[in-house]
Amino acid sequence: MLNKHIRCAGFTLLEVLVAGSVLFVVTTAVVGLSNSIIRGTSTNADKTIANRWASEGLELTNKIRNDSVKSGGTAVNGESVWFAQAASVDKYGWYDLAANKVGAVTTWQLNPTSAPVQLPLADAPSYSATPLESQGLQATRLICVEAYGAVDVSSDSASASCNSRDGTSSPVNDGDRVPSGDCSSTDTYCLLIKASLNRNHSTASAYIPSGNMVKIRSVVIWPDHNSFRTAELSTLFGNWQDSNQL
Amino acid sequence: MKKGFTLLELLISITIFAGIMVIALGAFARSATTAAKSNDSRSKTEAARSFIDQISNDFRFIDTTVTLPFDSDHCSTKPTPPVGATWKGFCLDPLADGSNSVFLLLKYPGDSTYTGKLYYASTNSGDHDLWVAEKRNCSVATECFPVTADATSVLGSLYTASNATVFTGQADTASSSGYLGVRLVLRSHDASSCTNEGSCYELATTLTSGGF
Repeated sequence: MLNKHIRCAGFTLLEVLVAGSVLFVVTTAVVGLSNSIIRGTSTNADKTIANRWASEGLELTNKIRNDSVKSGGTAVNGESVWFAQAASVDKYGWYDLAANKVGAVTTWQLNPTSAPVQLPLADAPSYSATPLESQGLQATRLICVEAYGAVDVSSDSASASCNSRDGTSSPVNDGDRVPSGDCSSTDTYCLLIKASLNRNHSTASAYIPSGNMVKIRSVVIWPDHNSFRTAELSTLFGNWQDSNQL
Repeated sequence: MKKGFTLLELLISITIFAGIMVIALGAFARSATTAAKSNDSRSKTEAARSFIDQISNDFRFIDTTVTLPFDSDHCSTKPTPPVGATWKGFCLDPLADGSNSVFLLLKYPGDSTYTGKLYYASTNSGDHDLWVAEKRNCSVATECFPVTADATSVLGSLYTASNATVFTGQADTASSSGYLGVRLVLRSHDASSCTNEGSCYELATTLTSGGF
């Protein structure tokens, strides 16, 4: 039997407000998600440029070393050093990669900076005389020359480290070996390579100089939405001093 | 009881709904516009990166034991490199027509033959198209210069290079190995210039011939 007293009321104002609020929240969430994806795309575009700058940093540092080899090296303490930045533990740290144009010839060089082991990202531009720019994106590139045994601490949103001991602000000096001379009795890496040299009939007097193998990191830093981002690539460079050494 | 909306309720509801819809549709419209720009930016990023990666990979295999030029038309000393410099494995602006170009003489590991690759930019009504031509299996290096008639477009129909000079570089000298600079400012064909934000995407790098 049909109910003759069916209630045919419309929506109340409260119901409309609740429904509207739900719609508003859902719409805001969807648009927010969409904007987040779009911002991610923009960041990726910037990161592609920064990665290319970082790659170029390694390439040009490799050229500095190769050109040094071609020209016979740099005299350091009476010896011919092929990659002068790695000649001494005193030289480890942050460098500014700069172009040097003389006439028609352009070469590059690594200029030392006073940037600390743990470098606040916001301070990076003050240590580089060669800022990078591409369609509004501005960045700073610094080259880190560090001991083979430096702890690899990835850059975070606040700072980047170079030649850090255990992630602290204390520098690493490559197994505590002296800049030249025989291996320290506690320097396992040095002793192992020396033993290897002797096994392969190299001269028994060969020693492993400081900077025999250094890590090169090319770090690009750029501002992004009230924060900073970094892109970095690294490689190992060998260094040789004279004919009876590695 | 049969009670519908009052006029006041109806007016308030419609006003609220209209307000929400204006906000929502406005946000969606802005989002859609930005998404389109973002999509275009991503495409440009990929196209630029693809080109830079391609020429970077090729440059890894240049044979720096071969000193160019081949002859007066191909890899001659124009433009004049530093005094005493020679092109080894690559040369800049080998084409006689003055277009910006680079020739790479490649030798892949384990391969006894050469591959010649020519990248060049041609200007057409203010746009700069990029082209690549290739000649494979050359037993003699001097026979490996490709002809431009065999060239294919690098950027396709969507994009153009906004900069006329894409390739720069320097030959080998006694104390310094050569390098090739590549800078591509990519622009959509439907954008007349790079003045509007996001209308262009720039990617650049320097490649060194290395080796010693």
